[in-house]
Amino acid sequence: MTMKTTRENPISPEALENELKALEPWVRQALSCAVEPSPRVIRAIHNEAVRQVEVQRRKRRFIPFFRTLAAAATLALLLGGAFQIHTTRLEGINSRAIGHILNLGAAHAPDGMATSSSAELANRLLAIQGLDDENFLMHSEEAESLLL
Amino acid sequence: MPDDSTSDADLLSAFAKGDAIALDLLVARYRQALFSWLMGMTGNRADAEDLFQDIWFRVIRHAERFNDVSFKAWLWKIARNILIDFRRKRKPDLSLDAVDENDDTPLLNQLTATDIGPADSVEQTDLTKRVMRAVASLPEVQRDVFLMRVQGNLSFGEIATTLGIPLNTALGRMHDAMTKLKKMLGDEK
Repeated sequence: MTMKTTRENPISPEALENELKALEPWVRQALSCAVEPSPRVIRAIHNEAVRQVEVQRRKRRFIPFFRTLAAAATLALLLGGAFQIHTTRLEGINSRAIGHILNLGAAHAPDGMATSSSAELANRLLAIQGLDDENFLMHSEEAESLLL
Repeated sequence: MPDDSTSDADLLSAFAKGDAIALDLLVARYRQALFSWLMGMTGNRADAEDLFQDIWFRVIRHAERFNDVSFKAWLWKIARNILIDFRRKRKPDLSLDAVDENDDTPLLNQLTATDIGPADSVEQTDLTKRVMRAVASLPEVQRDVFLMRVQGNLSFGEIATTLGIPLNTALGRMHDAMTKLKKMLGDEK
């Protein structure tokens, strides 16, 4: 079983650098014999870089256009929605007014009274025009003149 | 226009703004250091090339997100993550006498197969073999620190940041690596 040991004395980077000076040229020299990736790899990286630049360029060109388009679509949607709400509200007001007119006098009538109230409304309308049953009796003078 | 005197961060920023040449300069700047580190860590040229490509592809895709203090430390952080992923998928083969799957030439011969002058070649090859063997025999944690310092030219502070370890641990690993290397290379002299 291996035990993890801790160092008693901290290592100074300067001392290490000095030690490394003796060894470094050897390793560098040795490894530098094989440190060139093939031109095929370098070309592939270059091609990928060019492709990525092109993708970014296209993105930059189209993003403002799409942003404007999205903003216009949102605005159109909002305006449409507002118009729809306005129309619905107007329709509501109109239908309520019509309902009110049609149910004039019967708006607060209890259930079952609606029919009689409608009849009452009809009578009222006739009364307004002077055509109700009670007042449709001709006075004698009127009848006379009509007979003449 | 970026040139050799432009800082790493400025080159990356220029690339992120659409200058592909800036990335070429950055690759050229770290080509040798990164690739030799990968060679030291994988012991295999084909793997080192694949990883080298993957590392730069990731740099390319994440260039806009760079906000570290040091590009070099950031690059090595990416490199280490990719190396860890690679090792998870595949067991490492660090035998210097191993034969690369894509090439019948033993690894040591690949490492030394370069344009060295005839007079120097025997001596150079011998040195390379000895050093490579010694480096490859180091425990991975020590080899990692050693190659980052020597090949990557990262400061100990950058190494500690990259590996996510305390500075003293990085120094300790380096010290142990050098002690072993000196002993091995000294014994062979």
